[in-house]
Amino acid sequence: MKRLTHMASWFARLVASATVVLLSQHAFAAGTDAGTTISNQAQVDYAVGGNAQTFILSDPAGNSIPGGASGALPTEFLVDNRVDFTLVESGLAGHTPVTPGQNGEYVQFTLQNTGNATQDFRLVPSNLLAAFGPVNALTDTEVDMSALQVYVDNDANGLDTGVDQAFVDELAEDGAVDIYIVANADVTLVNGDIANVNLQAIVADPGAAGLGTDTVDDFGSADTAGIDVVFAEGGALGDGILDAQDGFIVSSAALSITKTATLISDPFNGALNPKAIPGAVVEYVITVANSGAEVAENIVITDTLSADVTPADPIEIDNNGAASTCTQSDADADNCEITGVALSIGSDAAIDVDPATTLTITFQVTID
Amino acid sequence: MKTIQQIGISILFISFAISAVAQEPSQAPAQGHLLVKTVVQKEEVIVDANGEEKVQLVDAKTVIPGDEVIYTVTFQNISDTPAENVVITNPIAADLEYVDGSAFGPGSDIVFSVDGGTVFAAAGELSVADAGVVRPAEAKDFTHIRWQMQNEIPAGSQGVARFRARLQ
Repeated sequence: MKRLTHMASWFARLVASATVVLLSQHAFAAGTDAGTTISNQAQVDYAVGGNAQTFILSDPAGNSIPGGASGALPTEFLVDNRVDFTLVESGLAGHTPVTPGQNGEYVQFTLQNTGNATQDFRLVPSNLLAAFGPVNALTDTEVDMSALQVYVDNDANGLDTGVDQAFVDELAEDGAVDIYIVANADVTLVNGDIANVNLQAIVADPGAAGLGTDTVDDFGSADTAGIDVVFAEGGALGDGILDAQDGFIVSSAALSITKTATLISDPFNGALNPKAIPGAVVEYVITVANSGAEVAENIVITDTLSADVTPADPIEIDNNGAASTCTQSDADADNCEITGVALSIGSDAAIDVDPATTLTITFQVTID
Repeated sequence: MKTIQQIGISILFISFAISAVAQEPSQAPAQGHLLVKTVVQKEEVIVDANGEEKVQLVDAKTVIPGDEVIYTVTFQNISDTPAENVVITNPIAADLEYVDGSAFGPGSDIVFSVDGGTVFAAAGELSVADAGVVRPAEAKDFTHIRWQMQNEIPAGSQGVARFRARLQ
């Protein structure tokens, strides 16, 4: 029987070593389960007066009774709990783009239990400041995401805010789970803003459903015969707490608007050195430049004109080289309307300005 | 009343003292020839009164994967005749890995097994088949250690065998 056990263990070793070749990245994970009893019993064979005697098995307190039924006990110790885990950014490489006002965007992390016992983990999300330093080479611009929420993909089907819990429950040895920080981007954020976030994982006791209490490290306290806990995350003596960082990058349109006025002619000087006298023609040029990373949609330009000028048609629209005209003097839906002195362009059909392009509106007025 | 209590305490103390002294030969039943004992310990670094670090052996109570434990087998001849051809055979638990070169036993030849204790040979003479490829055995392949005492153990004498193993 004992022989069989040894053979089985030898075979298990062979299988294990073959497995190690295939899955070498997991070779150092977990280790012997916490709570495992490791037994050892030495056998002494000897002879007296040339005659072989019945073997004697060892006992922690000493045994001298020969044979397998001596009652000698194996020398045992209990494997304690080495708390070890990793927490890294995962999912989308680099920062997650958000637009101002966008809700429910997320960054992703992966927590792996590389210790030798099942554990819970308490999770704390937080916003970071610039002083923390760069995350993914991007430094926080001192803006925060709002309404940070943590979701743990315990059911391994991706982010599911209706089901996923805010803590890691019963993560077995070698088990890994994805964690999401879901947040809202305030509408006050501007293109290029960086909001870095931190996820902290604190090891907690497993057991009943729900989050256990934070695990207490037994390092430095007296060894007990029970299962002691040693915090050893990353292979060194630790504190049972790990942090990882990721961030959001605000991607938005960034519009700058300029308006210039150029005298074209007056009734007396014509086009040569015209003066701004009644009857003179002035050309207004409005430029809308998008230096952001996103399309600026549904642009409507409203220009409140002086009551002392009269606009002329056509109004020329050049959107990144695409030229069109419209008229304000009639009540059609051609995108140029005047209401009182307020000239509006873009109210009938959407005008979108792509990133790194310019919309130019050109029209002339006559000074009354 | 007080006197009785004091007597009670002193009796208790004496009985403890006896059991401590008598722990080895006389407490064990007189039958058999050798008293065999195995203890498992680990090293702990302590700082002594002079501020110097010292390594001491303590009971293996807190052991986590990666830690090394030290097994010490002692065998004392409690009879009045010599014990001949004394051989100590110690299996290495499946979750343990023998620490290369750590087996120690004064006056003994130390051999190992990689096949569950069937064949024993010196460490350098063993080989194993790893996924069909035969290679020299390494410390992690050992399943048993055997100490073969070169000389008889005289009556009243004691021998020791020791090795280290790392918890996987």
